[in-house]
Amino acid sequence: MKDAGVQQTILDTTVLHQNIALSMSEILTQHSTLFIKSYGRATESTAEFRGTSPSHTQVLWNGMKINSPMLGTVDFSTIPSYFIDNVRLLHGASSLTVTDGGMGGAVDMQTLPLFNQGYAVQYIQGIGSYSTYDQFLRFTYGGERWSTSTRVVYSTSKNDFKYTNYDKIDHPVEYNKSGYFDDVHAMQDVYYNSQKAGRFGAKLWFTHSLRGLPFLSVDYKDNTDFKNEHKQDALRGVLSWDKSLEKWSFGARAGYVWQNIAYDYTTTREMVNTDITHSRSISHQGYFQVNADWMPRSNWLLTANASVYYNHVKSEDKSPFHVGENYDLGRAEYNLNFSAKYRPMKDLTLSAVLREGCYKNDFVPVVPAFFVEYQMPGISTPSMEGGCGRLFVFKASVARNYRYPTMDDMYFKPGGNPNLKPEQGFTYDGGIEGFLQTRAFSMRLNLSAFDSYITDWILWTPNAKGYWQPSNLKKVHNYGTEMMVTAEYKLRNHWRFTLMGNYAYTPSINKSDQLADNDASYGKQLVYVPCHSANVNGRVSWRTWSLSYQWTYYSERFTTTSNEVSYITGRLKPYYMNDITVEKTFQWRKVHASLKGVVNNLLGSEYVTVLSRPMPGRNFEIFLEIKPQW
Amino acid sequence: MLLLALVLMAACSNSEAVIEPEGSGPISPTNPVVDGGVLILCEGSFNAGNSSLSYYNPVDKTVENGVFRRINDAKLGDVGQSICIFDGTIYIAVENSGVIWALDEKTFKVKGRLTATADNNIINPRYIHKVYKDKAYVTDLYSPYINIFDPQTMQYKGSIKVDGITMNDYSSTEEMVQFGRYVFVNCWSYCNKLLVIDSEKDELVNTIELSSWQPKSMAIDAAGKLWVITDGGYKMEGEGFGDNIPHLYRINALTQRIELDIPLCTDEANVQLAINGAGEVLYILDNDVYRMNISDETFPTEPFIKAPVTNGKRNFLYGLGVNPQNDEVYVADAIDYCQSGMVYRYSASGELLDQFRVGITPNHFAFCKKSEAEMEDDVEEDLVYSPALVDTVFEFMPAPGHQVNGYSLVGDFIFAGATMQEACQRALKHFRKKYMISLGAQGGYVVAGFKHNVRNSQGDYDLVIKGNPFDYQSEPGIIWVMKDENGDGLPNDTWYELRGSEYGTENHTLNYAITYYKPTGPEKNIEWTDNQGGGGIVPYMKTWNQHPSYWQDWVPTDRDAQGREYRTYYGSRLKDTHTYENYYTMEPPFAWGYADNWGSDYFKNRKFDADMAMGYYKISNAMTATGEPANLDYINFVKIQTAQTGWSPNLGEISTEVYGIWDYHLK
Repeated sequence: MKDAGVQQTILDTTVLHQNIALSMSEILTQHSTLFIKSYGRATESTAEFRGTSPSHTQVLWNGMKINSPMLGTVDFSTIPSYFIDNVRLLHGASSLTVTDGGMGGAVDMQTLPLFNQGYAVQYIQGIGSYSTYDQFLRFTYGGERWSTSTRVVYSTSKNDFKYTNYDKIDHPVEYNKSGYFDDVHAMQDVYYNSQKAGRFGAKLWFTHSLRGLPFLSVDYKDNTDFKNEHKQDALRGVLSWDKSLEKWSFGARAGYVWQNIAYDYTTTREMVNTDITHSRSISHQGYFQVNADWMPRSNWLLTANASVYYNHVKSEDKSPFHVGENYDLGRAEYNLNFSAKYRPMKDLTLSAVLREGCYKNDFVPVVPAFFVEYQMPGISTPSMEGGCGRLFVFKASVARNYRYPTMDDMYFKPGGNPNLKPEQGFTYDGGIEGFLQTRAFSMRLNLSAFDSYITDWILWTPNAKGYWQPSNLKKVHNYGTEMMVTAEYKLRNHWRFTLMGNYAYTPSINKSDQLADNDASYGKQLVYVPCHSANVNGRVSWRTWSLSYQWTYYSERFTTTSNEVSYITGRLKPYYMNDITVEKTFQWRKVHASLKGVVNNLLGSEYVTVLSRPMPGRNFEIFLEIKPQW
Repeated sequence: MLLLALVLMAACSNSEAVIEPEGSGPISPTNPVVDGGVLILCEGSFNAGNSSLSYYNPVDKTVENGVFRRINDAKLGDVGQSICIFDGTIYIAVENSGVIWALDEKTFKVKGRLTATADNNIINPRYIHKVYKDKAYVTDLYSPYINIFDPQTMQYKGSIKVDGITMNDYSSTEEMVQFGRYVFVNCWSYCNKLLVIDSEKDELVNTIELSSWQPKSMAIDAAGKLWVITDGGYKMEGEGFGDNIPHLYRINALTQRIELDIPLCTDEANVQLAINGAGEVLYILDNDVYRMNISDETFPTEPFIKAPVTNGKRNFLYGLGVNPQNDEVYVADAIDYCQSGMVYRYSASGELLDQFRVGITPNHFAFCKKSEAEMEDDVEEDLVYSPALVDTVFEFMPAPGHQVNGYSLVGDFIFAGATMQEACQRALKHFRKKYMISLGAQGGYVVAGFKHNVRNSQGDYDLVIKGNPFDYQSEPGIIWVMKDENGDGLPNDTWYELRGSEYGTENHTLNYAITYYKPTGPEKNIEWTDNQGGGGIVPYMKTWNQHPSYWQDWVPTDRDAQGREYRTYYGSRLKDTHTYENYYTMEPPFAWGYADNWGSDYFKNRKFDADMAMGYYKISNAMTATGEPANLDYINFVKIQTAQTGWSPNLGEISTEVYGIWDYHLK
């Protein structure tokens, strides 16, 4: 009932914990309809839901928003997939059940306790192409009341892959310059389950990331002479309390995020040091939230929650356009949320959500959302274990949404525009979800269509002085369909086949007023948003062996707002990616182990996902996993 | 289900069929030089590597995009900042790629490149300026150096340190213009200065501080004035520098002093300067495009070309270029910086001639043109046959000087290697196009004739001679006339000097003879002696002309007792009146009566040519050798000779320039 009418995709640990070298960026690319715009291996990767922009994807970690208060985005390449145990992708209006501002949707990431599982140690060593080393160590303990988990991942790579540089004369074979990375992540979580007082949780996640920023394929500079580096230190912590009673449940959360980001692009010439870019930003985010659910009757559920975030950002930079402090400011954000869910008859659930947000002293209009879910009568519900059945569920929703400008949008010097209005969205969607289960076969299908409009879309454009300024420029019409299918077929002789596929059709059309009579961008697809995206993951396992094949596709993406087809740089070719993984597990008395071999880019495609950012060709990594048993 | 998805995908992705990359193979037509083609550099989006080069043919109004890519099968790079053409080569500085390209002007094929390496001081190259054929400067957004390279070989040659010139550790250097040996450089980022570089020593010799911030663009005019526009920096709450107000400056390039400072009434403007081919009309991009004469002291109130307004917002014009050959104005509109930009082409009078799409963010223009030598070989139809113009050049005998074998700033040694006969034909062609010839130092002369009789109107003007004088820079020439008394059509009768304001005064020497000694090696000063016991040199000045010898090839020589080759020129002399102080040369005019002299008889004459200042002279001033009025009823031949002997360290020798000789009565 809680998720009535909600369009969501769940990614569980079988998807998330494929191999330790993967970040959330790759997981979302391969297993969802989100478009990941990646600047390269282990470089910035942002997620776009339903043809919107990265800042329209709200990202939560254990209930706390972790979008950068400066940019409004999240770099998914800095989130190791092994640190996340469950992900809910909330499409479109469904994101309003957890947060506002997700004009495209929300990614809700959770770490989960492991009660009653005893002690466990897991170590994974990965060795791959381009001097890549991935190490992962995890200790877990799950008792009746306590659960604790400590995870550390350390990844390094020279990442100096070879590629044929078609952008230079005579197409030389070059190495990816300055692409190295050196990332450490550590996460500790502790849960305590008290039958009386409820469940307490504490999660702490530390990141230290040092990454070279690769040179463009059209860069002729001698890289030995330049340092182009991005450093990020981050600490995120959340304390949680949840208590369930017969008709009530309560929860409270408090969190803190500290981030220190440095970006340096420098060179030294005859003892004279020159900063091309020198940028620093330190942000602190405090978070507090309380929630209560009340179920006065079995067909009513009322929920309320109140949250407050306080963001403080100190941002400085040095460039030919600006030297000094960009801003040093704090901003509080308050949010109130009420929802009512009502089931007037057995097969029908109605739900309404109201949200009110306030940023500093600026109230955003009330956000309403309505959901309806109808279950086709007369079809038996499949049971979870081995039973047979069919189920069809219809879902629909309609919602208004707002996204308040980020701190950079409003305060960045030079350019920030304090008079920006919040972006407004209006969206409705509908779909059908079906389940089919027999003894050997199970299938789950989800088909939805959506239509949404975003107005006052904030866009940064260059001004006369050479720096960029944001304004409420754009109107965008996003519409399309999303499909998801998972199927599993088990045979008696230990064979098991699983298939998971996603497809999205997401036209995202600019409907802004023309900037000028010669503006050819009206009615055109937004830049870097593919019209079609699809992926298929097939897996075959037999006894201790398994083979999985991953196919990912994005249709061509335009690089100009006028969707120029006459330029060679006007669009990126359709992207097809094939990866293959073979795994063998061993179960000995004292130790369980597995050996996994991965071939990425099996067909050795030469491609870019962003102009002038070459991507690696066929590459390999081997993983050895050891789990001592006692 | 998946099948359905795949079918849907196939249905929607029909775009493969319309992929037509910019095309391939050679662009059409194949000779941009002949058509006076226009190159448009499109900056592209920062960090996208989609800078591109577009080519526009103004003759048949066609445009070819992605030219660099199509010809060279490689991308131009990231942030194409500037483009220029000299000596048959196109140079493009691609800032964020750290590369300077050299392309053949006719084929657009890459001839060479210079890149930022650990061995040089190039970081992000911005603008290129030719100093000599084998020496060019390149400015840089980040490097604390202006770099020097050989544009013929693209070899790095060194650098000029400009560290610490600007604020906040940046040493941003931008555009360059040259006057004499001095190269002016504007410093844009966080700066309010211009730098003055001595191009012979490759040294920073002066800085000029402006009253407003961020000089963005410069031009040098025909009167030797440097025009500079600033964007005004920016002003904002709590910080900032500058007041956001662009200023337009006029600076005397000789004295390096600011003469005029006009604050513009705009805020948040993209500013740019361009100048027409004659260097007399200035075009200013300041949201709209304004036009002003170089003699104007105030900024025009009405724009020359108004930026179009759509939905209450003015189009954001990003680039400006003026074709020096026909003064057509090209304006670039970047629209949203993320789509194919638009270029508008206007006639010299501001009429829209064409508009076309180019690459992303068009910002800079370059104009292909024939070299001087190619222009000389032009078809006859380019020439203007005026019945008033002289019909024949009989003798062209320049004395030594830095403009003899050709003029470095034009690029080709147009008179090098010519015979006297060829030189005379070329000189006549020059007159037919109102191009100049230089007579070299004192005594150098040209003899030209009319097939008809130029009558003496007895008091009104009879002859018209165009030069290039200014009130501070006159290089007077004495005018002689001859009547074809024997009727053979040849200048073999008697020369009569036209009396000028100095005739018969102490400033005037009759029966003057000067002897020049042909140099024995390359790059040498040329020595002279005269029949008054004087002597001196004509200096060799590589800045102005890199030809190894300033002795004109066809000038015949005699040999003296020591075996030295020499040539003696006979005529009259005017006193050398020039002064040189603080890098400033002053060459004052005489009152009247001389060619290439800013006297009372040099003006725009409604009766003959209302648009162009010229000199007007009277046959009634013709004097006999004994100082009596010659009373000629008509004349047929004219001789003009350089009158003064001086030279200055920045401008070289005084030499009369002649652009044509006409009969005033035959307009």
